[in-house]
Amino acid sequence: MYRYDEFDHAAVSQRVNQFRGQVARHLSGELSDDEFRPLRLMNGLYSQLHAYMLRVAIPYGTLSSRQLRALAGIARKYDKGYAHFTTRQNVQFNWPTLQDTPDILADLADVEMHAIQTSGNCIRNVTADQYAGVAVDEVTDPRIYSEILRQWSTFHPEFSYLPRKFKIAVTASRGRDRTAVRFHDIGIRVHRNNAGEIGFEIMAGGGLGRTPVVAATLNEFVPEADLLSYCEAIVRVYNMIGRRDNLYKSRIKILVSALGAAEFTRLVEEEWAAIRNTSLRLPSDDVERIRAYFAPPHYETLANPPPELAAQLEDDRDFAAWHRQNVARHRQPGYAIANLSLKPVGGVPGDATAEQMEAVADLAERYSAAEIRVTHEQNLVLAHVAQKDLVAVWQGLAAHGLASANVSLISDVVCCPGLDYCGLATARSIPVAQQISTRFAELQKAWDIGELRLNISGCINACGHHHAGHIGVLGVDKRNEEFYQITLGGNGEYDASIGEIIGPGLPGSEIVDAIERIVEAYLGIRESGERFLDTVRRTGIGPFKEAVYDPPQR
Amino acid sequence: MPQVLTAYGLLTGQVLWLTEDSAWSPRIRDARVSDSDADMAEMEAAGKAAHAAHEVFDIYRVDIAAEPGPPRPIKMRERIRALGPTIHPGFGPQAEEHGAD
Amino acid sequence: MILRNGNLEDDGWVRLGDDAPVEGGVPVIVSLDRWRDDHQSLALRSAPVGVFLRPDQPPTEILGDLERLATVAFEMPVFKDGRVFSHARLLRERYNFRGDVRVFGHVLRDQYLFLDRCGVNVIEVDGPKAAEDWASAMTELSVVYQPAADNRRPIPSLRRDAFDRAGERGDNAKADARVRLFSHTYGHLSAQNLLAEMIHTEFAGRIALVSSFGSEAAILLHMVAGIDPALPVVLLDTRKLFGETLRYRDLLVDRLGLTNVRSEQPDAAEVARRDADGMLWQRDGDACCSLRKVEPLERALSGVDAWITGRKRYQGARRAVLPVIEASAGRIKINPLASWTRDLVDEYFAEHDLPRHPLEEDGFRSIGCMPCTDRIAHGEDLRAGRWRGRSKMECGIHETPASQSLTSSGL
Repeated sequence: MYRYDEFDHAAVSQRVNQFRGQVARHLSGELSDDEFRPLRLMNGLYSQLHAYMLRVAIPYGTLSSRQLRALAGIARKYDKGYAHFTTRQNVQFNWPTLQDTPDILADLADVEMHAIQTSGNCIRNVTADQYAGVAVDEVTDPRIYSEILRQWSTFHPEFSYLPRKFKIAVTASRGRDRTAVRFHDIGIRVHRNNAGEIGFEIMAGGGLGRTPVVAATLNEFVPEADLLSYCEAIVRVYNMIGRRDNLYKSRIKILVSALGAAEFTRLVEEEWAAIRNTSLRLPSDDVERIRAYFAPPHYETLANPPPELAAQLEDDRDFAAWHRQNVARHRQPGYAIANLSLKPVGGVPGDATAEQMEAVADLAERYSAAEIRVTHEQNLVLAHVAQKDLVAVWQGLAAHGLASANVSLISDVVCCPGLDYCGLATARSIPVAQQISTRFAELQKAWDIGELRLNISGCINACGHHHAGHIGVLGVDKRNEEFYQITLGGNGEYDASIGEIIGPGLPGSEIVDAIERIVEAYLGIRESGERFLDTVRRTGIGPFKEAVYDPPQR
Repeated sequence: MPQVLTAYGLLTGQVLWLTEDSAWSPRIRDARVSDSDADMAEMEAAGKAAHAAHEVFDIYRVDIAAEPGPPRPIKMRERIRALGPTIHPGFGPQAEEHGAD
Repeated sequence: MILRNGNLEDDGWVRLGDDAPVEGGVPVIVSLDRWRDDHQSLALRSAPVGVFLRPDQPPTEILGDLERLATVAFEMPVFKDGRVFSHARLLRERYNFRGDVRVFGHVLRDQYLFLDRCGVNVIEVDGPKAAEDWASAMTELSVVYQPAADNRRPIPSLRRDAFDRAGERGDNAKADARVRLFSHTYGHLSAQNLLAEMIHTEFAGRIALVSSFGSEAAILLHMVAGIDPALPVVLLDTRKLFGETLRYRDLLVDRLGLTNVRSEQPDAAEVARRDADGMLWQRDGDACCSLRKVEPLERALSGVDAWITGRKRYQGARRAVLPVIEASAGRIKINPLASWTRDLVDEYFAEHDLPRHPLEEDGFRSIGCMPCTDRIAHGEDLRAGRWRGRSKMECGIHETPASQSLTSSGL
């Protein structure tokens, strides 16, 4: 994985000292609340419902075991012993104090981590496929380009006071998109052309929030060398003409929609032409140097599958269940990708205790090249497990409550912190997630339902990506009561779609029953091989609307 | 409608309530309840002074139910804010009532 | 007052309201509207003229006027409005404007660096403290990742140089991409930090220390014991070592708490076959080294991707250009002490109170196998006592880079 060199170390430690100074100036009154806010936000520090919240970047979702241990240490030393993995490959601490924050940032810098630009109106943490480097269906490792973009966007002098936040994701998968690339301000899909050259499909103007938009493709194949100039052109156009008069109209998606994708593309490419042959051009040597950091770990030559696996699966049904649902194919024969669900029955989606983080770090060191991935679905991944070690890994996970066999099932709920933590939320989301994972706890039933993405947001800002859920749940406040609105048919993959609202919101006491009725309806009308999403796409929301609002008398 | 005045501690980020003696308490039951504009004006002056002294930030009024007993915010958001996350009874001021979790 | 490139000056310019009268001889900055209305009369004056632009007025509005303007100013009504950063860059980089680029309004000192990077050279300020603020803002972040309108060298460009240097430091002929990468990423670290990175992170579980347990070996052994006492440590026991070396090994293992020291011996059957009388060293030194050191080392390193050695540049002409990290027969070889001097070695022994090899007092400075190691005289190359009288300088486990082979004939 990427390692800081002397320049990266200098950048991050200087930033810590700079922030320490800014905190001191704020406490002395030199910096007003209004002036300090964007500075603290650009260092990841929010003020939330109960306390400050610190958001730490996990660039492209790759962590070393040492970094995960450091996060556990911070949770224990400065927080309440746990952390929350978010929907954008970040991790959040919910209870730090302002006075401790510079020290936390210094602890992070020691392990080559930071909270730089995890908030504020700037370019945020650049995300990538959590299976990068091990996926069977990838063109090349997308993290190379995420890292190049991370560096380019860090302390960008021109783009630190944009109209609004700006999010970039990179995917290189030929098969399924695991990054929600079409719901990003810039989405980048790596391709290889017939000549064997790398290039990028560049999408822009996607996003969720109160106005969900699927990104438009601006250019089908931008050559590798032009990655930075093309992105700089997009962000410059946005910075200059994006709206600043209305908070809710200031994302790039509004600009792209207002101008139309064709006109926006014209403006971008005009700007691009002017900067394409400047020092933004990316020499292939630079790319190769970054690529070298992402060289695969040392793999042994192993039997695929190992001879003992069949018996192990037969001997232990729980292991077999976990293997079936959470283990994915690896490009290296004899190895596997193990998904770790942070969605135990009745648990808080995405939360992990310090002990759990340390247990995962231990397992990664013993069995998975001392490396961990985090997913935008708020789960973790051990990306290099020898199949012969899967049983041991599973046992280690089970001992710490991390072996829920529900990845991508209905109980693998993606969920924002909601009104339990968030100052912007209008309703709670975590308790709904807890009820859903409890209602659908029975694995046989969840398997029968099959792949079903359920996403919950506690307000219209859509941090739980409800628009992109096959079933989306949006919490709203109706006369001081929590109501939940259901959308169906959303999807965050390459064939992205935005969920459709099925009807009026339901009170909190009815929402889980309603979801169960939707699922029952699906089981009743699905055709052979259809996932939930496929059925909704075939039938539309009609049958589900009826199931929720006009159920047949029993 | 009766109101209380709330803010966040600048250093700690903690939820605070203005008390009878113009101090700040993390427990809403210590909060001073205003029944009149004059009351509230006095409280807001105290809030302003605390802000100027870099003790608190984000000061605002919270409506509470007109009923005897400790102040109970009308809005669910403020109730959760006064008590702590509903999913973690051991965190926040509610922990005193529930005991550690 | 203004800061011009960080220097505090009285502002000689007047920003004129749209209706204010123009005084003769005073440099003025006017709004775009006024410039459009009055540019002819303004340009006729002898004093310089500037135009200020609001955030919604990009510099393209005055493209045709730039030659007549000495200053282009940008108003920042609120610091959060970041259009000025793009506008200033375009003015400098695209339109090559060489006059003053000024900002005024709500400007935070925390923006000084980025304004400077985007080509702003004049900032209207309230008082003298701004100069201090500017100075610290320019130094608090000294590295930049991307090109802009300034002449700071971006990290990617610095890195290209650093990589080239790393390549030179490495053995050029064999420096593969990995060596360059490691040299670049870790080459600047101290010996201890380098070892910790290699042992804990980069090669965790796949790295070993090869130690001679000779005169300076205690240093690395001591460092390693502090990082991971269970790290595999290999001693090539050629069966021709000094008894003192084996006793020294036992002393160090005990003292430092090393738990994984392996003595790799030559294959007994091969010894019987190739060196039945034990005198091969005399007949053919290279063949003896091959049998007793090179082949056992290969066995000891199977399953290992990197190994650590204690070689240092000062140990002789043949090691004068030793890199810290090098490629070696498909493995990475780490020489954390490459740049250490004799003084540093002595200091380390003293500071950590490490025992010296018993033969050192006796005049031995580089200690290998008994038959092939001699004392050295004062002023001699430290390895002069090895294979004395023969052209041989290395045993073969540290093969000589081809580019340096000419040194052997001179010695």
